[in-house]
Amino acid sequence: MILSNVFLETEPFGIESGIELGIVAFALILFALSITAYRNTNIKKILFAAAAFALFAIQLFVDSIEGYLVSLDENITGIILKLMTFVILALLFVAIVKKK
Amino acid sequence: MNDESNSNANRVLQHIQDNPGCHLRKIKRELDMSMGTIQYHLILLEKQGKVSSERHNLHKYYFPIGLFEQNEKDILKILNQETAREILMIILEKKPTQTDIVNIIKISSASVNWHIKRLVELGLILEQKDGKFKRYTAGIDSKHIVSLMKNYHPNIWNKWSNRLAEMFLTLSKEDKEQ
Repeated sequence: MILSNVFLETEPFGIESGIELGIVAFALILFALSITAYRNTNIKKILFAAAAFALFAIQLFVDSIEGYLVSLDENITGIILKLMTFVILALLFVAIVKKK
Repeated sequence: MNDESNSNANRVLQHIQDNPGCHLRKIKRELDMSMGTIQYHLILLEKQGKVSSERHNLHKYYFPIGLFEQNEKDILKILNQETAREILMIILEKKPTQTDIVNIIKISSASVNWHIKRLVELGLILEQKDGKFKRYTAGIDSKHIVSLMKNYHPNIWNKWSNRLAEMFLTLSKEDKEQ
């Protein structure tokens, strides 16, 4: 039901949607690059960065369908999105400072 | 196997020994033999344990057995990395210290240190003490290293992923301590 709402209520493809799609694409490319980098180097900290990029893509996806998730309270989705931002930054921080 | 077949097999084997890391199309181009004949001999040579192969991107690369004593796959991974290849080239040209390498390729010493450690572990380069410094030389025949680098090179995706890894190595203090 929710998914059908998403498709039915989606506005015509505009500049904003195009930019959002571009951001998601970049996040996914960075995620895939991190996985390749990890496989080539075995540097574990890169996995934290990969998780951050993946979470960033998920966050953007959740943000873009937020309006269609009628079952979720706006405040709750707001909290979830902010929490995701926090976790993304925390993961990048760990990727930089982690020793081994 | 008749004489002609033997001679073809020897030509293919000799070509792989002279050009480690070459792929099927390149062998065909340089030996001017039919694709089917080369494929047949490559399969036989692999079964006889005289050559090994590794699939990478669109090609299958062939290596003579005994070129690497061990860690063959890890060595090939290293050849996929832009910075490691640059370091190898510098080491082939002269006997540099770590500082020389940092000054030439202009990346962080942590990153250079990390790559050098891996190259030494895999036996691709050797570490020699020179007073207060350590100098690096090729660990296997330099002709083979050049041939490997010529034949087996990273694609754009591997170059980018390598640069991402470099970024984290540079941001981290971990390898400065090693």
